[in-house]
Amino acid sequence: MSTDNRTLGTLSNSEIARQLSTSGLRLQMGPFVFCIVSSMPDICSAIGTVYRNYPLAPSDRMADFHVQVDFPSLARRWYHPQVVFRIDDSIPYKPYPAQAAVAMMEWGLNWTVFSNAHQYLLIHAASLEKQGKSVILAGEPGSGKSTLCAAMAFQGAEKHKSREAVPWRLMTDEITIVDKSSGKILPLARPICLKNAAIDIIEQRFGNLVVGPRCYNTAKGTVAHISPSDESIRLMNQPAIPRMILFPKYDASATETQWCERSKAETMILLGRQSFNYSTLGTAAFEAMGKIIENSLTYEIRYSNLDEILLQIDAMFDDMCASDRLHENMAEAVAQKAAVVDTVTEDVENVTEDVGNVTEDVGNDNQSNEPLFACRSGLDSPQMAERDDLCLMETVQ
Amino acid sequence: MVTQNQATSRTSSRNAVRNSVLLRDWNTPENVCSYCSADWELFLSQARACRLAGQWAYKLAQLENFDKIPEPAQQALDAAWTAAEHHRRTLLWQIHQVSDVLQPLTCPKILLKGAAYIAMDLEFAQGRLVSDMDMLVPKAFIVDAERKMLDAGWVSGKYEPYDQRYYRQWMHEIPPLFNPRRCTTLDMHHNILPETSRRSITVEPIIAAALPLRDKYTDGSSVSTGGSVSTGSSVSTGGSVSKKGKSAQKNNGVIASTDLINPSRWCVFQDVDMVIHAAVHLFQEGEISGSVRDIIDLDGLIRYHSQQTPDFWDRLFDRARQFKLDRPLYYAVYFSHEILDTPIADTGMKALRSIRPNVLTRQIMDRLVLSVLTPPQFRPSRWTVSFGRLVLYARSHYGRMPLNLLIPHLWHKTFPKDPLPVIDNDGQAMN
Repeated sequence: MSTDNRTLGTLSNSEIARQLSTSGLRLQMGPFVFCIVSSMPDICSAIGTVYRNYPLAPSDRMADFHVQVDFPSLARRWYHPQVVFRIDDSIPYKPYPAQAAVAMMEWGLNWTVFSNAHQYLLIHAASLEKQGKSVILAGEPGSGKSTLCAAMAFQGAEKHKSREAVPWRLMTDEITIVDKSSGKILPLARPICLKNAAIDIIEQRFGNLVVGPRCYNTAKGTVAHISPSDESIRLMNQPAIPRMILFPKYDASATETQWCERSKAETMILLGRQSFNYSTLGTAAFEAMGKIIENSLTYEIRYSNLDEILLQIDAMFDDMCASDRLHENMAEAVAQKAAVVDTVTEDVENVTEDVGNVTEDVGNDNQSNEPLFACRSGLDSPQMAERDDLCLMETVQ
Repeated sequence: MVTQNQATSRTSSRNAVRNSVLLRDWNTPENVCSYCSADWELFLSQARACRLAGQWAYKLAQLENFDKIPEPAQQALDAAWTAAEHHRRTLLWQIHQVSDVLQPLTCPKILLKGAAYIAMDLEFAQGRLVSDMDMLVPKAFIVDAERKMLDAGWVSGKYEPYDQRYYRQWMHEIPPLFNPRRCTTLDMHHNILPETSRRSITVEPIIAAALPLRDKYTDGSSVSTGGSVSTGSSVSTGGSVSKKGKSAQKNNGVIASTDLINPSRWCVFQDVDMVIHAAVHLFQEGEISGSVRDIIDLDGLIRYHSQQTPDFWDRLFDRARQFKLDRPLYYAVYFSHEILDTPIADTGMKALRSIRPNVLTRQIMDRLVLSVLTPPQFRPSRWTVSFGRLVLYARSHYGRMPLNLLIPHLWHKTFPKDPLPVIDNDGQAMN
C-alpha cells in the first residue's frame, strides 16, 4: 500500500523512464488501471508532463490492461521511425510516424477501453459534473464538442479561483461510462484531445494549461492532449447523476445561440448511435440508456459564439440544479408529513387495539359472542374519542 | 532416437502451453481463486488474446466462491461474458434469417463448427466467441443456395476475379457471403476439405449421417442427457449462468439456442464426424492461429461425445480410416490430450498409437504446434512463434493444393494482378 495516494509527479523523470522501460508504469484512470510499457523518449517525457497529477495504482490493485507503445522494430527506431500500439495479441492501429507517438498512445488507450469494457455502457460523448450532477455533450465528430468541453472544463477552474461560480469538473472528453445498475456516470478523467485550430483557441483562452506535445499530420490533423484540472483528477472515483444531454453543433453562420429541445425518443436514437457498445449490451443498454434519458433534459444547441453558449449552459444547468433542490426539499417535506401521518395512523391503530382489548375484556365479562361489534361501538364512545384527540395533539407537536 | 536434450526441450515447450496461466486450471477452475493479481493480469490478457475470456467467464461463474475473485477481474469477466452473449445472439439471429432464405431448398442444411456447438447449447461452448457462421449444403444445391442468398440481399464478399476463381474452382466453399446491413459473414461450404486437397474426400456419407438439430434436443434425451458432462443440454444454460447475483451471472435472461432458431430446419454432423471435422479444420485446413481455442473445442467435443455413446472411440477411428483422415485425427486427439488431459479410453489409446506418424515427424510437429499454441505474454508473440505459424500455414496450404497450383496461388496473393482467365459458375471463361 506504499504507493497509495501517490501521484506520478512524486517520481523522478529517471524513475518514470525506468518503470516505463521495464515492468511498466501503472496509472489509474477512472475505474481502470493501465500498465504502460514504452522505451520511447517522447512517450516518457509526455507522460511525465500530461499525467503528472495522475495517481499511481495501489500496489495491491491489479492492472486491467497491459499496453505497449513502442517502435515496431529495432530498424524502425532509426530508419523512418515509427510507433505502434500493442495490447494482448492485437495491434489496433497501423504503425504511425514516431512523431505522433503520443497521439497513438492516447488513441490506443481509448480503443482499449471501448473495445473491452463491456461491463459498462460506453457512449462516445464528453461529460462534465457540477453539484453531483452531470451534463453529457454528444455529437458527430467535428461538431465542436471537444472544444466546448475543454472550454467548460477550464473556464470553471479559472472562475473558481476568483470565486465567481462553482466550477465544472471534467469527467471525460471522449468516452462516457455509464454504470448499468446505478445509471450514474463514472469519470474516466483522461487528458482532453484537441484538434487543429481548437488547440490554439483553448491555449490562448486559458493560461497555464498542461499541454502535451503536438502531433502533426495524423488522421485527424494536428492533435494535442491537455491534462484535466487537478480537481478533476483528484475526484476521478466520484460518479455523478446524468441530468442533461446536449448535442452542440458549431455553426459559423448562427447569429445567436439557438436551443432546440429534442424529444426523449429522438435522443434515445441519437445517443444510441453514438454508443460504442449499444448492441453488444443489448437489453441492458436499452434499459440503462432509457434510464439516463428519462432523467435528463435534452437539447440540441447551434452556436457560433463560445462565450455565449458557455454562459447559457451554465445558467441552464444552475437553474435546473436550483429547481432540483426545490423539488428535493419539497419531497423531503412531503416525506416528513407522510412520516407524521404514519405515526398518527400507527397511534390510531394502537388505540384501536387497546379499545379492542378493553372491549374484549368487557365482552369476556359479559360472556358476549360479538366482540367485533363491541369493538366498533367502543370507538364511538366519547371517552375514547377524547383520548384519540390527545394522542394526535402530542404527535403533531 | 530421442536425445536427452530433445526430450527436455519438447517437455518444456509442452509445459509452456499446459502450465500457461490460461490453461493450467481449465479442468480445475476452483484454483483460480488463489491467483495473485499478477496471475490475474496475465490470465485476462491471454484469455482476451486467445478469445477464451467468455468461456472462462462461464466456467468461473459456476464457482461457489466466485466472490473471492478480485473485483476488477470479476468486472473483466462480466465484460467478456457480455461480448460473448452478443456473439451468440447475433449468430442465432443470423441462423434464423438464413433458414428462412434457404427454406425452399429440399437438401439438408448443416451447421458447422462454432455455429453448431452454440446451436446445440454444448456446455463447453458457453461464452464462445464466433466470428462467422459456417454451414454446409450438398454441392448440387450450392449454386441455388448462393443465388437465394444473393437475392435476399447478401453480397459476395470477394470481388477480385482471381479470388472468385480460387474459391469456385479449387475450394470447398463459395466466396464468403456478406450481409451489408448486419456486417456479418456466412461461409457456405459443400465439402469439409478443398477439392484440390491431397486428402480430398467424398463428403456424401458424412452428409447422409448428419442428424437433425431438433432430435438432439427437444426429445432426443437419449442423445443429450446420457453422460456426466451432459449438463450442456439446453435446459441447463439458463440456470447455470444466473446462479449467483453478481457479474457474469447477472444474465439470467439466457434463452436456450434452440428456442431462438427453428431447429427442425437444421442438421449437425453426427458425433464422430463433428470431431473429425474439427480435427481437419485445425490440422489440415486451418491456419493454426488463435488455435488454443480450437484445442478447447476438440477437448470439449471429445469429452462430450465420448460420454454419450460407449463405442465412440472405435467408431471415431474407423470413420477417420474410412476417409483417410487419420493423420489430422491423430494430431487432434494427441494434442488435446497432451495439453488439456482429454480422457481417452483404452481402446482409443491403442488405436491412436497405431496411427501415429514416425518419430521425426512427431518431433517437428510437437515443436511447431506447441510453440504456436503458447499463449502470448501481454504482447503479440515473438518471431519464433510467427515462424512456426508460417511453417504450419505453408504445411496446411501444401495439404490444400498441389504445388503446381500452390506456387502460382501464392504468387498471385503476393503480386495481385490477374492475367488468368476468370471462370464463372458454369465453367465458362468470362471477359
